[in-house]
Amino acid sequence: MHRIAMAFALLAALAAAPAEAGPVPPELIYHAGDLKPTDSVLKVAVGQQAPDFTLPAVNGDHVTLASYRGLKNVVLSFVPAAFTPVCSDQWPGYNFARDLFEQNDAIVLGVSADNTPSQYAWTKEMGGLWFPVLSDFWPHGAVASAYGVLRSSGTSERAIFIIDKAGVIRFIDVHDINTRPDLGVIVRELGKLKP
Amino acid sequence: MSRILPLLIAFVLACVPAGARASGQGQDPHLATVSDLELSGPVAKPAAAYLGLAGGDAGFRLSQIKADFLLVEVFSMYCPYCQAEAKNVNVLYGLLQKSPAAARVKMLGIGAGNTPFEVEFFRDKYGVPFPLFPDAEFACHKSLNGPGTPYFMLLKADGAGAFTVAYSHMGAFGDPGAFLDTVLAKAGLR
Repeated sequence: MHRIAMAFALLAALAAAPAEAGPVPPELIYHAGDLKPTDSVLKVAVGQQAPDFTLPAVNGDHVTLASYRGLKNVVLSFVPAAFTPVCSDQWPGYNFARDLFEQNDAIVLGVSADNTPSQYAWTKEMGGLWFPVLSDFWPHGAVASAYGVLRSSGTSERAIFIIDKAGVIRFIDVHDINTRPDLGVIVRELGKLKP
Repeated sequence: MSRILPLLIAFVLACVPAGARASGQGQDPHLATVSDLELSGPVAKPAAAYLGLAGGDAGFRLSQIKADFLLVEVFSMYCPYCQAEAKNVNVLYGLLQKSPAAARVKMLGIGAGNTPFEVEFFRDKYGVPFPLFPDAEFACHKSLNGPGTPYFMLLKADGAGAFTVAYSHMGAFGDPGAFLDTVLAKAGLR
Protein backbone atom coordinates (compact mmCIF):
# COMPACT_ATOMS: atom_id res chain seq x y z
CA MET A 1 0.00 0.00 0.00
CA HIS A 2 2.86 2.32 0.89
CA ARG A 3 4.36 1.81 -2.59
CA ILE A 4 1.08 2.76 -4.24
CA ALA A 5 0.91 5.93 -2.19
CA MET A 6 4.49 6.79 -3.10
CA ALA A 7 3.75 6.18 -6.78
CA PHE A 8 0.81 8.57 -6.69
CA ALA A 9 2.89 11.17 -4.87
CA LEU A 10 5.63 10.86 -7.50
CA LEU A 11 3.13 11.15 -10.34
CA ALA A 12 1.61 14.20 -8.71
CA ALA A 13 5.00 15.84 -8.38
CA LEU A 14 5.82 15.09 -12.02
CA ALA A 15 2.48 16.43 -13.20
CA ALA A 16 2.97 19.65 -11.26
CA ALA A 17 6.57 20.29 -12.27
CA PRO A 18 7.01 22.51 -15.33
CA ALA A 19 9.02 20.77 -18.05
CA GLU A 20 10.74 24.05 -18.86
CA ALA A 21 10.24 27.78 -18.54
CA GLY A 22 6.57 28.43 -19.19
CA PRO A 23 4.43 31.49 -19.73
CA VAL A 24 2.40 33.00 -16.95
CA PRO A 25 -0.95 31.15 -16.70
CA PRO A 26 -3.73 33.07 -18.48
CA GLU A 27 -5.84 33.26 -15.32
CA LEU A 28 -3.09 35.29 -13.61
CA ILE A 29 -2.83 37.90 -16.36
CA TYR A 30 -4.42 41.32 -15.80
CA HIS A 31 -5.81 42.82 -19.00
CA ALA A 32 -5.75 46.61 -18.92
CA GLY A 33 -7.07 46.93 -22.48
CA ASP A 34 -5.53 49.10 -25.17
CA LEU A 35 -3.49 51.91 -23.65
CA LYS A 36 -2.15 55.17 -25.05
CA PRO A 37 0.87 53.95 -27.07
CA THR A 38 3.36 56.25 -25.30
CA ASP A 39 2.87 58.67 -22.45
CA SER A 40 6.18 60.28 -21.53
CA VAL A 41 8.90 62.60 -22.82
CA LEU A 42 12.31 61.08 -23.45
CA LYS A 43 15.14 62.69 -21.46
CA VAL A 44 18.10 60.97 -23.09
CA ALA A 45 19.33 60.61 -26.66
CA VAL A 46 21.50 58.29 -28.73
CA GLY A 47 25.15 59.26 -28.26
CA GLN A 48 24.72 60.37 -24.65
CA GLN A 49 26.17 58.62 -21.63
CA ALA A 50 23.46 56.43 -20.12
CA PRO A 51 22.33 57.63 -16.66
CA ASP A 52 23.82 55.27 -14.11
CA PHE A 53 21.69 53.51 -11.52
CA THR A 54 21.74 50.84 -8.87
CA LEU A 55 18.57 48.80 -8.38
CA PRO A 56 17.60 45.74 -6.34
CA ALA A 57 17.30 42.49 -8.26
CA VAL A 58 14.89 39.64 -7.71
CA ASN A 59 17.72 37.41 -6.48
CA GLY A 60 18.55 39.82 -3.64
CA ASP A 61 21.59 41.41 -5.32
CA HIS A 62 21.89 45.05 -6.28
CA VAL A 63 22.84 45.71 -9.89
CA THR A 64 24.70 48.81 -11.03
CA LEU A 65 24.62 49.68 -14.71
CA ALA A 66 28.22 50.97 -14.65
CA SER A 67 29.44 47.56 -13.46
CA TYR A 68 29.05 46.31 -17.05
CA ARG A 69 31.31 49.08 -18.38
CA GLY A 70 34.05 47.52 -20.53
CA LEU A 71 32.52 44.05 -20.10
CA LYS A 72 29.10 43.78 -21.72
CA ASN A 73 26.76 45.62 -24.01
CA VAL A 74 23.52 46.21 -22.12
CA VAL A 75 19.98 45.82 -23.41
CA LEU A 76 17.99 47.82 -20.90
CA SER A 77 14.43 46.55 -21.23
CA PHE A 78 11.76 48.57 -19.43
CA VAL A 79 8.35 46.89 -19.25
CA PRO A 80 5.19 48.42 -17.79
CA ALA A 81 4.02 45.92 -15.22
CA ALA A 82 4.17 42.39 -13.91
CA PHE A 83 1.32 40.01 -14.74
CA THR A 84 0.21 41.92 -17.83
CA PRO A 85 -0.24 40.40 -21.31
CA VAL A 86 2.62 41.61 -23.50
CA CYS A 87 5.26 41.77 -20.77
CA SER A 88 4.51 38.20 -19.75
CA ASP A 89 5.82 36.79 -23.01
CA GLN A 90 8.37 39.45 -23.97
CA TRP A 91 10.91 38.43 -21.34
CA PRO A 92 10.38 34.66 -21.71
CA GLY A 93 11.07 35.31 -25.39
CA TYR A 94 14.45 36.70 -24.35
CA ASN A 95 15.05 33.37 -22.60
CA PHE A 96 14.45 31.61 -25.92
CA ALA A 97 16.77 34.06 -27.68
CA ARG A 98 19.49 34.01 -25.03
CA ASP A 99 22.13 32.84 -27.49
CA LEU A 100 21.40 35.81 -29.77
CA PHE A 101 22.19 38.21 -26.93
CA GLU A 102 25.27 36.27 -25.87
CA GLN A 103 26.58 36.10 -29.44
CA ASN A 104 26.52 39.89 -29.33
CA ASP A 105 28.27 40.05 -25.97
CA ALA A 106 25.15 41.52 -24.40
CA ILE A 107 23.29 41.20 -21.14
CA VAL A 108 19.62 42.07 -20.72
CA LEU A 109 18.63 44.12 -17.69
CA GLY A 110 14.88 43.91 -17.17
CA VAL A 111 13.32 46.80 -15.27
CA SER A 112 9.80 47.55 -14.11
CA ALA A 113 8.38 49.82 -11.42
CA ASP A 114 6.88 46.84 -9.57
CA ASN A 115 8.20 45.95 -6.17
CA THR A 116 10.54 43.02 -5.74
CA PRO A 117 8.00 40.57 -4.23
CA SER A 118 5.69 41.04 -7.23
CA GLN A 119 8.58 40.59 -9.65
CA TYR A 120 9.67 37.51 -7.73
CA ALA A 121 6.26 35.86 -8.04
CA TRP A 122 5.98 36.88 -11.70
CA THR A 123 9.36 35.58 -12.77
CA LYS A 124 8.79 32.36 -10.81
CA GLU A 125 5.62 31.85 -12.85
CA MET A 126 7.71 32.34 -15.99
CA GLY A 127 9.99 29.53 -14.86
CA GLY A 128 12.88 31.92 -14.24
CA LEU A 129 14.89 34.24 -16.44
CA TRP A 130 18.59 34.15 -17.26
CA PHE A 131 19.04 37.91 -16.84
CA PRO A 132 18.62 40.23 -13.83
CA VAL A 133 15.14 41.62 -13.19
CA LEU A 134 15.36 44.94 -11.36
CA SER A 135 12.82 46.82 -9.29
CA ASP A 136 12.43 50.55 -9.94
CA PHE A 137 9.79 50.72 -7.23
CA TRP A 138 11.35 53.16 -4.75
CA PRO A 139 11.92 56.03 -5.16
CA HIS A 140 9.06 55.20 -7.43
CA GLY A 141 10.10 54.97 -11.08
CA ALA A 142 13.24 57.05 -10.49
CA VAL A 143 15.28 55.29 -13.17
CA ALA A 144 12.43 55.33 -15.66
CA SER A 145 12.05 59.03 -14.91
CA ALA A 146 15.78 59.67 -15.44
CA TYR A 147 15.51 58.12 -18.90
CA GLY A 148 12.17 59.83 -19.59
CA VAL A 149 10.06 56.71 -19.86
CA LEU A 150 7.85 57.03 -16.76
CA ARG A 151 4.20 57.22 -17.74
CA SER A 152 1.66 59.39 -15.95
CA SER A 153 0.11 56.21 -14.52
CA GLY A 154 3.32 55.38 -12.63
CA THR A 155 4.37 52.48 -14.83
CA SER A 156 7.24 52.69 -17.26
CA GLU A 157 6.96 52.59 -21.01
CA ARG A 158 7.79 49.46 -22.92
CA ALA A 159 11.22 50.69 -23.98
CA ILE A 160 14.54 49.34 -25.14
CA PHE A 161 17.84 51.16 -24.63
CA ILE A 162 20.98 49.57 -26.04
CA ILE A 163 24.06 50.77 -24.19
CA ASP A 164 27.54 49.91 -25.41
CA LYS A 165 30.54 48.89 -23.34
CA ALA A 166 31.57 52.53 -22.97
CA GLY A 167 28.23 53.28 -21.33
CA VAL A 168 26.94 55.24 -24.33
CA ILE A 169 23.35 54.90 -25.49
CA ARG A 170 23.42 53.53 -29.04
CA PHE A 171 19.75 52.76 -29.70
CA ILE A 172 16.40 53.78 -28.24
CA ASP A 173 12.97 52.32 -28.94
CA VAL A 174 10.15 53.71 -26.83
CA HIS A 175 7.70 51.21 -28.16
CA ASP A 176 3.93 51.19 -28.37
CA ILE A 177 3.07 49.84 -24.91
CA ASN A 178 0.49 47.49 -26.45
CA THR A 179 2.94 45.59 -28.66
CA ARG A 180 6.27 43.78 -28.43
CA PRO A 181 9.47 45.27 -29.80
CA ASP A 182 10.80 43.26 -32.76
CA LEU A 183 13.58 40.97 -31.60
CA GLY A 184 15.12 41.32 -35.07
CA VAL A 185 15.63 45.05 -34.62
CA ILE A 186 17.34 44.53 -31.26
CA VAL A 187 19.68 41.89 -32.70
CA ARG A 188 20.44 44.06 -35.73
CA GLU A 189 21.30 47.03 -33.50
CA LEU A 190 23.49 44.86 -31.27
CA GLY A 191 25.29 43.67 -34.38
CA LYS A 192 26.28 47.25 -35.12
CA LEU A 193 28.26 47.36 -31.87
CA LYS A 194 30.69 44.68 -32.97
CA PRO A 195 34.20 46.08 -33.42
CA MET B 1 -6.81 3.80 2.09
CA SER B 2 -7.30 6.82 4.36
CA ARG B 3 -3.66 7.69 3.80
CA ILE B 4 -3.90 7.28 0.04
CA LEU B 5 -6.98 9.45 -0.42
CA PRO B 6 -5.25 12.80 0.25
CA LEU B 7 -2.48 11.76 -2.14
CA LEU B 8 -5.03 10.87 -4.81
CA ILE B 9 -6.68 14.26 -4.37
CA ALA B 10 -3.29 15.98 -4.55
CA PHE B 11 -2.53 14.08 -7.73
CA VAL B 12 -5.77 15.13 -9.40
CA LEU B 13 -5.33 18.77 -8.34
CA ALA B 14 -1.77 18.78 -9.57
CA CYS B 15 -2.86 17.46 -12.96
CA VAL B 16 -5.49 20.16 -13.52
CA PRO B 17 -3.19 23.16 -13.81
CA ALA B 18 -0.72 21.14 -15.86
CA GLY B 19 -3.42 20.46 -18.41
CA ALA B 20 -4.78 23.98 -18.26
CA ARG B 21 -1.36 25.32 -19.14
CA ALA B 22 -1.08 23.32 -22.35
CA SER B 23 -1.26 26.47 -24.44
CA GLY B 24 -0.47 30.17 -24.29
CA GLN B 25 -2.87 33.01 -23.54
CA GLY B 26 -6.19 32.71 -25.36
CA GLN B 27 -9.10 30.35 -25.73
CA ASP B 28 -10.12 27.81 -28.35
CA PRO B 29 -12.48 29.81 -30.60
CA HIS B 30 -14.15 26.62 -31.94
CA LEU B 31 -14.62 28.21 -35.34
CA ALA B 32 -16.82 26.48 -37.91
CA THR B 33 -15.36 28.42 -40.83
CA VAL B 34 -12.29 30.49 -41.56
CA SER B 35 -12.00 33.31 -44.07
CA ASP B 36 -9.46 33.30 -46.86
CA LEU B 37 -6.53 34.53 -44.76
CA GLU B 38 -3.87 36.65 -46.43
CA LEU B 39 -0.31 35.73 -45.51
CA SER B 40 2.71 37.91 -46.10
CA GLY B 41 5.68 37.01 -48.26
CA PRO B 42 8.32 36.44 -49.22
CA VAL B 43 7.60 32.84 -50.15
CA ALA B 44 10.85 30.90 -50.44
CA LYS B 45 11.28 28.50 -53.37
CA PRO B 46 10.92 25.28 -51.35
CA ALA B 47 7.76 26.62 -49.70
CA ALA B 48 6.39 27.76 -53.04
CA ALA B 49 7.06 24.35 -54.58
CA TYR B 50 5.41 22.54 -51.65
CA LEU B 51 2.34 24.77 -51.55
CA GLY B 52 1.98 25.18 -55.31
CA LEU B 53 2.50 28.94 -55.19
CA ALA B 54 4.34 31.26 -57.55
CA GLY B 55 6.80 32.30 -54.84
CA GLY B 56 8.63 35.61 -54.63
CA ASP B 57 8.16 38.60 -52.37
CA ALA B 58 4.40 38.93 -52.68
CA GLY B 59 1.98 37.57 -50.14
CA PHE B 60 -0.77 35.10 -50.93
CA ARG B 61 -4.12 33.84 -49.79
CA LEU B 62 -4.83 30.42 -48.36
CA SER B 63 -7.11 29.69 -51.31
CA GLN B 64 -4.13 29.88 -53.67
CA ILE B 65 -2.52 26.84 -52.08
CA LYS B 66 -2.90 23.70 -54.16
CA ALA B 67 -4.33 21.23 -51.69
CA ASP B 68 -7.64 19.71 -50.66
CA PHE B 69 -6.91 20.27 -46.97
CA LEU B 70 -4.63 22.59 -45.04
CA LEU B 71 -3.23 21.69 -41.64
CA VAL B 72 -2.39 25.05 -40.09
CA GLU B 73 -0.44 25.59 -36.89
CA VAL B 74 -0.84 28.99 -35.24
CA PHE B 75 2.25 29.43 -33.08
CA SER B 76 4.47 32.09 -31.58
CA MET B 77 8.21 32.22 -31.15
CA TYR B 78 7.50 33.69 -27.71
CA CYS B 79 5.24 30.81 -26.64
CA PRO B 80 7.11 28.20 -24.57
CA TYR B 81 4.42 25.62 -25.31
CA CYS B 82 5.05 26.11 -29.03
CA GLN B 83 8.76 25.74 -28.38
CA ALA B 84 8.18 22.55 -26.42
CA GLU B 85 5.91 21.15 -29.14
CA ALA B 86 8.14 22.10 -32.09
CA LYS B 87 9.92 18.75 -32.36
CA ASN B 88 6.61 16.87 -32.23
CA VAL B 89 5.21 19.08 -34.97
CA ASN B 90 8.25 18.33 -37.12
CA VAL B 91 7.64 14.61 -36.58
CA LEU B 92 3.98 15.10 -37.51
CA TYR B 93 5.03 16.73 -40.78
CA GLY B 94 7.45 13.88 -41.50
CA LEU B 95 4.72 11.31 -40.95
CA LEU B 96 2.29 13.26 -43.11
CA GLN B 97 4.84 13.41 -45.92
CA LYS B 98 5.28 9.65 -45.77
CA SER B 99 1.55 9.01 -45.82
CA PRO B 100 -0.60 8.53 -48.95
CA ALA B 101 -2.38 11.77 -47.99
CA ALA B 102 0.73 13.93 -48.49
CA ALA B 103 -0.41 15.39 -51.79
CA ARG B 104 -3.86 16.24 -50.49
CA VAL B 105 -2.99 17.71 -47.08
CA LYS B 106 -0.43 20.53 -46.89
CA MET B 107 0.96 21.94 -43.68
CA LEU B 108 1.96 25.49 -42.80
CA GLY B 109 2.54 27.63 -39.72
CA ILE B 110 1.42 31.16 -38.92
CA GLY B 111 3.55 33.07 -36.37
CA ALA B 112 1.03 35.11 -34.38
CA GLY B 113 2.53 38.50 -33.57
CA ASN B 114 5.88 37.34 -34.91
CA THR B 115 8.01 39.40 -37.26
CA PRO B 116 9.85 37.77 -40.18
CA PHE B 117 13.02 37.68 -38.06
CA GLU B 118 11.23 35.95 -35.19
CA VAL B 119 9.68 33.36 -37.49
CA GLU B 120 13.06 32.64 -39.10
CA PHE B 121 14.71 32.36 -35.70
CA PHE B 122 12.08 29.83 -34.63
CA ARG B 123 12.51 27.90 -37.90
CA ASP B 124 16.30 27.80 -37.57
CA LYS B 125 16.25 26.88 -33.89
CA TYR B 126 14.04 23.83 -34.44
CA GLY B 127 14.83 23.00 -38.07
CA VAL B 128 11.17 23.34 -39.02
CA PRO B 129 10.79 21.63 -42.42
CA PHE B 130 7.39 23.03 -43.45
CA PRO B 131 6.55 26.61 -44.45
CA LEU B 132 6.15 29.24 -41.72
CA PHE B 133 4.81 32.74 -42.28
CA PRO B 134 4.84 35.85 -40.07
CA ASP B 135 1.68 37.49 -38.79
CA ALA B 136 3.41 40.48 -37.23
CA GLU B 137 0.31 42.61 -36.70
CA PHE B 138 -1.84 39.69 -35.45
CA ALA B 139 -4.14 40.12 -38.48
CA CYS B 140 -4.64 36.39 -39.02
CA HIS B 141 -4.69 35.71 -35.28
CA LYS B 142 -7.47 38.28 -34.78
CA SER B 143 -9.36 36.87 -37.74
CA LEU B 144 -9.27 33.50 -35.95
CA ASN B 145 -10.64 35.10 -32.74
CA GLY B 146 -7.28 34.94 -30.97
CA PRO B 147 -6.72 31.29 -30.16
CA GLY B 148 -4.16 30.19 -27.57
CA THR B 149 -1.01 28.76 -29.05
CA PRO B 150 -0.10 26.32 -30.40
CA TYR B 151 -3.39 25.95 -32.25
CA PHE B 152 -3.95 23.42 -35.00
CA MET B 153 -6.70 23.62 -37.61
CA LEU B 154 -7.60 21.25 -40.41
CA LEU B 155 -9.19 23.39 -43.10
CA LYS B 156 -11.19 22.22 -46.10
CA ALA B 157 -11.62 24.66 -48.97
CA ASP B 158 -15.23 25.30 -49.87
CA GLY B 159 -14.29 26.47 -53.35
CA ALA B 160 -15.67 29.96 -52.79
CA GLY B 161 -12.70 31.48 -50.95
CA ALA B 162 -13.61 30.30 -47.48
CA PHE B 163 -12.73 27.21 -45.47
CA THR B 164 -14.59 24.80 -43.26
CA VAL B 165 -12.82 23.85 -40.05
CA ALA B 166 -12.88 20.07 -40.19
CA TYR B 167 -10.97 19.75 -36.92
CA SER B 168 -9.16 21.95 -34.44
CA HIS B 169 -6.97 21.36 -31.42
CA MET B 170 -5.42 23.81 -28.98
CA GLY B 171 -2.22 23.00 -27.09
CA ALA B 172 0.15 20.06 -27.21
CA PHE B 173 -1.23 17.07 -29.12
CA GLY B 174 0.79 14.26 -27.60
CA ASP B 175 1.72 11.40 -29.90
CA PRO B 176 2.26 12.72 -33.47
CA GLY B 177 1.17 9.44 -35.09
CA ALA B 178 -2.09 9.33 -33.16
CA PHE B 179 -2.71 12.99 -33.92
CA LEU B 180 -2.12 12.43 -37.64
CA ASP B 181 -4.55 9.51 -37.53
CA THR B 182 -7.16 11.82 -36.02
CA VAL B 183 -6.50 14.54 -38.58
CA LEU B 184 -6.72 12.16 -41.52
CA ALA B 185 -9.88 10.58 -40.11
CA LYS B 186 -11.47 14.03 -39.80
CA ALA B 187 -10.46 14.70 -43.39
CA GLY B 188 -12.07 11.44 -44.48
CA LEU B 189 -8.73 10.18 -45.69
CA ARG B 190 -8.48 7.20 -43.33
